[in-house]
Amino acid sequence: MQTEILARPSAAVARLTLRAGETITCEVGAMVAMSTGFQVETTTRQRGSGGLWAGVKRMVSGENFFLNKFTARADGEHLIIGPTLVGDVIHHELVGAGTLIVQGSSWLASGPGVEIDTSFQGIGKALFSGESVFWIKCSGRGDLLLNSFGSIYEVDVQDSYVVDTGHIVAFQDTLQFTVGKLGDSWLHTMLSGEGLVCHFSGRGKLYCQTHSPPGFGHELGPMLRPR
Amino acid sequence: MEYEIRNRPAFANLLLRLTRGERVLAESGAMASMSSSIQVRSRFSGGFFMALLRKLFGGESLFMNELSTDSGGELVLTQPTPGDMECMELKGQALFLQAGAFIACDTSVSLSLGWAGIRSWLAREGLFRLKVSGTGRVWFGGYGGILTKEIQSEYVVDSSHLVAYEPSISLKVGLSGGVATSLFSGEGLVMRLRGPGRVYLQSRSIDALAAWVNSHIY
Amino acid sequence: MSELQEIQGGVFSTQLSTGRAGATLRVNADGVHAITAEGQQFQLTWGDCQLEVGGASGRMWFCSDAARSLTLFSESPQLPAAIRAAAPPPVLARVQQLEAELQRKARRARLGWAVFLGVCLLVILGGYAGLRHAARASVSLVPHSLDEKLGRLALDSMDLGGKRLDDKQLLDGLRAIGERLRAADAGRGFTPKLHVVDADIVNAFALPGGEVVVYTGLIRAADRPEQLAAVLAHELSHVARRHGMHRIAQTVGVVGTVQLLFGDVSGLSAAALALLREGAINAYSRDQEREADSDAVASLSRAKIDPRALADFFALLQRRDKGLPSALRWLGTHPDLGERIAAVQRAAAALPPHTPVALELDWKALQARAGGRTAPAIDP
Repeated sequence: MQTEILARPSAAVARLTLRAGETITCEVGAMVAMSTGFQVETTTRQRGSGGLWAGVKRMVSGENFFLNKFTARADGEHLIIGPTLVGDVIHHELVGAGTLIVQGSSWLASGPGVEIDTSFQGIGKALFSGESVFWIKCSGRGDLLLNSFGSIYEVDVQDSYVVDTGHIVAFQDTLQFTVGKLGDSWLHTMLSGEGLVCHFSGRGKLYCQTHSPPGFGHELGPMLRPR
Repeated sequence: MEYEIRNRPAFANLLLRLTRGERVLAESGAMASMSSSIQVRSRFSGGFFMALLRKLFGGESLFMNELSTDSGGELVLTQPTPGDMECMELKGQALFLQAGAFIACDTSVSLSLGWAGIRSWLAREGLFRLKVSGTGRVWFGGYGGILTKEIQSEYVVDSSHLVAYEPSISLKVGLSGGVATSLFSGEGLVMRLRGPGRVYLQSRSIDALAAWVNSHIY
Repeated sequence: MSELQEIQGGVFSTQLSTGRAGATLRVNADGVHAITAEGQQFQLTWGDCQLEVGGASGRMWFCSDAARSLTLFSESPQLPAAIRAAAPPPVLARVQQLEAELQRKARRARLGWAVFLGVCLLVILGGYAGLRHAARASVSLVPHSLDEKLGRLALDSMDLGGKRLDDKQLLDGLRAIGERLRAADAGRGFTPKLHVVDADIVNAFALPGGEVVVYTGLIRAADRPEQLAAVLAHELSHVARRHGMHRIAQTVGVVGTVQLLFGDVSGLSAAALALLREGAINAYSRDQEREADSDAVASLSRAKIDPRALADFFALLQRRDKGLPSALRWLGTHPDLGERIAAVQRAAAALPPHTPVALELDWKALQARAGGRTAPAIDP
């Protein structure tokens, strides 16, 4: 499968060209355009995290994680996929060594060799901000496409690093993390509704995004009409 | 303290490199990521009562974060909306910032809340505005690109596109359209600015975005 | 030689790297000087200096050269004061001109505020008056069926203060009186539905749509059936004139206007019902009571019943109710009974002379059925 990322960095989309029989699994709603030779199947599971139980776990974690599996019927079929918010798309190659933990809304698509596990919710719900943070464990071999709100920047963590939870795109599981407050005041954390950060330690790669969807949501939300 | 505004103009973010002992004051929620050697202290911006006023009438957050380091570190600050950022070096003069525009400043800069007047309230720009003054750098941003304009005489600006302006600029609110809609909805109100001075504008309006989304809700 | 005053302000200059800087200003006989924090110096002599007032606060003073390449400014009132003290006549004249303009602007602003507050007051007062008028107008658009529906709902859900009596004789007696009044066109547009409630309350009331409740206390206390008829006629007038609906419209009007302004009119009918039930509108306004009184006199006379029976009933109430001294009774929503008696007597006297026809009722029997007590003795 060939991957080409167009319209970087503000409104990126990924243009994927597949050979006959190749598949790619994408988030529902990601399809922008495609040639006619695709078979599309909507599923709630991915190889390796199969079955009803995994689906139930996903539902319990607060996120309906439905997947579209595209299979090319012939060589040269192409598919253009993109995320909702303005930002970037990057292509990460998984080489069978280690796992990448991806933030739920940053996962765009992955190839067949990549296992997706959503049962891992180690970080749990962000209690104070009231949003649930949803994580996807990606392992195996193959292509992985990630998207961001804003630009993506990489940080090579040597020792430790701190990231606001809304700004995390993905990180290698060689990194340990704890969720804590940013400031020295719990009052601040509770009243401002933000201030929860991830403290990473260890060595590994960390992808961050320059803008936080919950942050933007809090800015725009109060101006919207109640339904 | 070195700074770099990266990913301009769509997703501008501020990368600060602090050396030992350096401090910076940042808006609550501005921190995206930082070295673990950076300590954060939260405080009410300008005292509790002022902070409350700012929250209620100025649209700012109740808190500010003071970030400092004992050994040096890196810090990435950002803003909630996609857009550009600007840095202004204050040399004793002052700047008025609209609600939400402020991102960070050197600790040598003083922040205060100024009365914006009824006109500003009518233009839905809040009763209070943030005044930064003194010496040091202040970083601010907006939704969309930031346009800088030096004005000498009159200039007309849509109020939701105003980011920052110098105190030497006088503001008058005027109608651009029909009386009824302008009075009740605040739309159609424009600001007539008179210089001398500099004004910063943003190329997009979050009010307009909200209105657009609202029109699609039902 | 006194130290020159240091005035906080700023400089706009093309010579500055960023074009502007904060500066300390000093005014002397030559002109205005400024020194920035970094030590750069600027000067404008009186010959070059052109003065303007403006800025975000409206009170910032600017001195610039003709080309506007250098401007010294300050928000502090010390600057115009210092300029006035040190400047030559042409500049002085300009300062005075600008200060006069500032004063005019301040006066206009004060006037503007006064007008604004005045308009607010007018809107509030006018709104109140307009609301009453609008309320009246809106009731005329409402069909009678709504009156009846509301009245029925209220009757079923309110606490009447006693049990409803199903006594056929009592009800027949009442209905006979009611029929006589209806024939005389009392309660026009509505069919009166009479109910009797057993309680020691000397009163009767009517709900919108014609539901009339008569308390046994009233039946027992009245000397003659004509007094009961008078009360019924009064209540039927409230029904015909839809006073209840008007009260709802007025009270709800304020709530409703607020709701209309902010959206969401779903609570209006619930509010109307709640008001009825809590009897808030059972307190008719003084104007409405006066209207009902005069209507009652008219319909009683048409029914060939002596209208002074109404005045007699009020007198009865007066005797029983020695509670509030008459001086304070105007505080209640019912106008002073003495006043009402006088009004009824005047209205009755103004009618053409006529012969009343007695009500064909066994009054004593009716009173007995209403509680078995005879009318109370008149207090000495």
